[in-house]
Amino acid sequence: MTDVSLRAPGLPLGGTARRAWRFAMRHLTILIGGTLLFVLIAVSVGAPFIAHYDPIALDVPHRFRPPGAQFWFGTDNYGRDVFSRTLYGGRVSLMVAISVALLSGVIGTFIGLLAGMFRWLDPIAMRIMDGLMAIPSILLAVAMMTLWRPGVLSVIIAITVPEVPRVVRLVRSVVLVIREQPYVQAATAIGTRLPRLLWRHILPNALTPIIVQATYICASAVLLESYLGFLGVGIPPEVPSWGNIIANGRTLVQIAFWVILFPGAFLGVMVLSINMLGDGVRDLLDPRLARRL
Amino acid sequence: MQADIVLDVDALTTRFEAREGATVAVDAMSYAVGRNETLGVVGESGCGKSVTALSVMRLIQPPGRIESGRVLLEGRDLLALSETEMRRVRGNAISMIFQDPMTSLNPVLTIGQQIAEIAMLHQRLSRKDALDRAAEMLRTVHIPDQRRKLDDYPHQLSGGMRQRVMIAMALICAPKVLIADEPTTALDVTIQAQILDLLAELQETTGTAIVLITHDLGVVSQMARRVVVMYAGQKVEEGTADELFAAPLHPYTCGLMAATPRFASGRTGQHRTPLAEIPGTVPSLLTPPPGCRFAPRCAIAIERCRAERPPLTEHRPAHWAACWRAGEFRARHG
Amino acid sequence: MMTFVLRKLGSTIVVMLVVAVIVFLLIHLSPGDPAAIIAGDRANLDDIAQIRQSLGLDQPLAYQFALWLVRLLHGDLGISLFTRLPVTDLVGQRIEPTLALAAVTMIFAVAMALPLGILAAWKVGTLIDRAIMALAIVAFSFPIFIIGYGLVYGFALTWRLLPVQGYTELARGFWPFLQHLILPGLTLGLVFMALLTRMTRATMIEVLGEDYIRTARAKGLGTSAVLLRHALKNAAVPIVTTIGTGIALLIGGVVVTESVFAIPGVGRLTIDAVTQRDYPVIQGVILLSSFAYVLVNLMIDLSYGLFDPRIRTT
Repeated sequence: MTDVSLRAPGLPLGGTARRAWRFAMRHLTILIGGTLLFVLIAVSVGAPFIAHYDPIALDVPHRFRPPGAQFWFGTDNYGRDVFSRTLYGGRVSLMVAISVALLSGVIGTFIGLLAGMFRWLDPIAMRIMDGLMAIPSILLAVAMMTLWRPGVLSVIIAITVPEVPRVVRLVRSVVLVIREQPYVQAATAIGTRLPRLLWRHILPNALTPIIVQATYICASAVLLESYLGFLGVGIPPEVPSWGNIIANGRTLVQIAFWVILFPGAFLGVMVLSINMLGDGVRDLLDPRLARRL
Repeated sequence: MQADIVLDVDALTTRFEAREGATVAVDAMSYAVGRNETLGVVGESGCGKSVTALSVMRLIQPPGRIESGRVLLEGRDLLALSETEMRRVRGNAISMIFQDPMTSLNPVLTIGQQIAEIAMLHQRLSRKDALDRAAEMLRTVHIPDQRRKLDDYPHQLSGGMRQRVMIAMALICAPKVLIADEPTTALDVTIQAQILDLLAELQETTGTAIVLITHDLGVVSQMARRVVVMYAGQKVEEGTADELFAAPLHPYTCGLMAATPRFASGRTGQHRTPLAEIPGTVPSLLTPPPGCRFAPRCAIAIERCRAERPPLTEHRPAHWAACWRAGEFRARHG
Repeated sequence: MMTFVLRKLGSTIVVMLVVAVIVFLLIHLSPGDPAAIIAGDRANLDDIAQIRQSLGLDQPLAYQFALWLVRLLHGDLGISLFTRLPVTDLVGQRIEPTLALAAVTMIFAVAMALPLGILAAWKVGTLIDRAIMALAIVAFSFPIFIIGYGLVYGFALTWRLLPVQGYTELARGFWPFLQHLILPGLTLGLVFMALLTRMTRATMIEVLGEDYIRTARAKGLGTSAVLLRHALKNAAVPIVTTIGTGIALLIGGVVVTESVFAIPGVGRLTIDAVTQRDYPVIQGVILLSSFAYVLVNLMIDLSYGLFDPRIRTT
């Protein structure tokens, strides 16, 4: 056995504990990111059980309370409990983010596959994607929200559209590479039809980078939703989301900064954990970049 | 006949720590080169010949580490120097050229810049003087149109010219030792001969000792006076080139000689024989076999070979081999 | 070299055209009557009918697009519904603060990211590397307004070193001008720096693994010469490309930052336009910022020849 122990604790433990420690050290980002995310998701999903107060009920006598025993995160200008609102807001933000990731992933993969497989479609699709990417995501989303009826669905679509080009480019480049592989050419030679070719041979190999990218999109979507809310064009205020909680708290920065602090911190930690997870998964699957140890 | 020793590598050991464990890539390697002498270091890919050279230059980076040994350059132990002192030695008293000249030259800097910076660094020349020296070196390595070439970029030169540039860079400070790691492997056969001739010519004029690392026995026979054969990080045979080719002692060396393709004589090629090969593969150095490392692949291995590692013994004058049955392979298989 | 330039110019024009189409279609594919949207909330039926006629909205789509495009090329970005002023004028009034903010942000970001990225790559795997990467990922993950308010709380409210918000024109003095830009520039700069640091590090790690770096070391060159003279120049192209594509993030970030720090720039203009449903302004800002993005990237693409001689001579 070797003694490649990296800063292993001087614990009188056996081989399995040391191996576990080493595993943890090597995959620190996934571990921390995954744990944080799990906690945040659990807390958000379990909001009805954890939160004591109704997130949208007004309670004017208790407004502007700083964080304390009764209201853990304090209250806002309407007396609403920031803790409850933060937890419930998390559910909405998460749901939007996951929807965006899924939607952009599916649409982007679809277009990317087609662009990669059909040579005539490629330049057209890529120019369109370039055009979309030239418009800053926030501006595009804001424009869409201004034109459309406010609502959760509008927000989801408005955030999805700017994220699609990235997936398309990724999938297309992967497809272009896989297409040239001998096993794909062999499959074509024996007459495999296109849908089967895509489903059986090409897609499975493109799956990993797509998933990594979807993780990053998830993080980006959480941020974008909060920006939309911050700017006043996000999810309507009846449904608490981190974005509109913070939007409401803007005016209160000097008197009740906790209204922004806690949702903002949660937001940051959630995005951080998703990003860490994405980094960790990417490094795991791409040994070239995993030269960290 | 002993030229004064310029480079004396003494029991050099280099280890690599990896996730799966530690690998001893170079195991107590020793060799020496004298002034105006060319030493050939032969072995198949992965046997540690390049790692030895990089260790001599102290270019090994983590997860690799030079564990023990001494590297005496004109009596001075390079392994004992500080990094700053070592930098003054690199490119100056001892130089190295690498296998692939295309990737070994910086694509975004001119040839002139890359050669001149060495002179500016070690000889404290001004930019202008350094460029003059660079042009001089280009002439020495027979590159025409030197002044114009100084402003060229590596991608504008042919493979052979790039290797000449590498040689110019290596010799600009008149080093005592030049380590050439597979200098001709990436080149066309015709160019190979030119480069080797150039090296020989330069050695004559400067007296530089050359350590020529290669897996190509033809190159060795042309250039080297003495040869060291490496296998799985260890030296298995050492002797003069003539001796080695005429009467190899170690079964591995015999195998290498036999595996060299011989061209069929006669137009119909009636002497065509199947290419002899050494069966098996190099053992994983993570868990090296306890005895002789070549034993698993050796046709004449006995119990003792597998149990006890044979020491390097001088079976004939100035001809060492690490084998319990040195010489017997050849006697049996011709 | 010439073909390279021409090709780049060609694709730039195509991309701009695509942007124009997207922006045009945005309003025409949205639910509701485009004329009503353009006329605004306070218009009555007559106004709407008039707008429909003057903009030719009853004509076929392609014709409308051609009309609109021609107007665009003449510099006519439409009239703001709220202020009745040409959009170009409005943007022109607000451009200075935005450009100033963008410049300060870029300077901060590049000045922080390059050394940190190079350091992290050189010391890859060590504590320093992990610390830098941790800083980068945190700065990248937290929303701009949190970083902004955090900085404001610390530097402006608590320690009273810098103004809380606002903007002073350059004409009124350099120091006041700079003062108001430090916190916003730092806020957005941190986010941009995070992106750039990651990219710099990744590229430098790749470059440092190349053979010519080994050659450089074999020549006896010291660390700074190896890193800066040999490695960095090779890493320049991907790094500069990232700066280019990051401009889109920068522009988006400027909108939020201007809101946090009450800077009267183009971002604020956009936000006001959003609350007032002043679509022509939003449209104008999108077109201009996309144009800026495309232009910057074009210049960056053309600058590759500076860094990589292989492009110059082919």
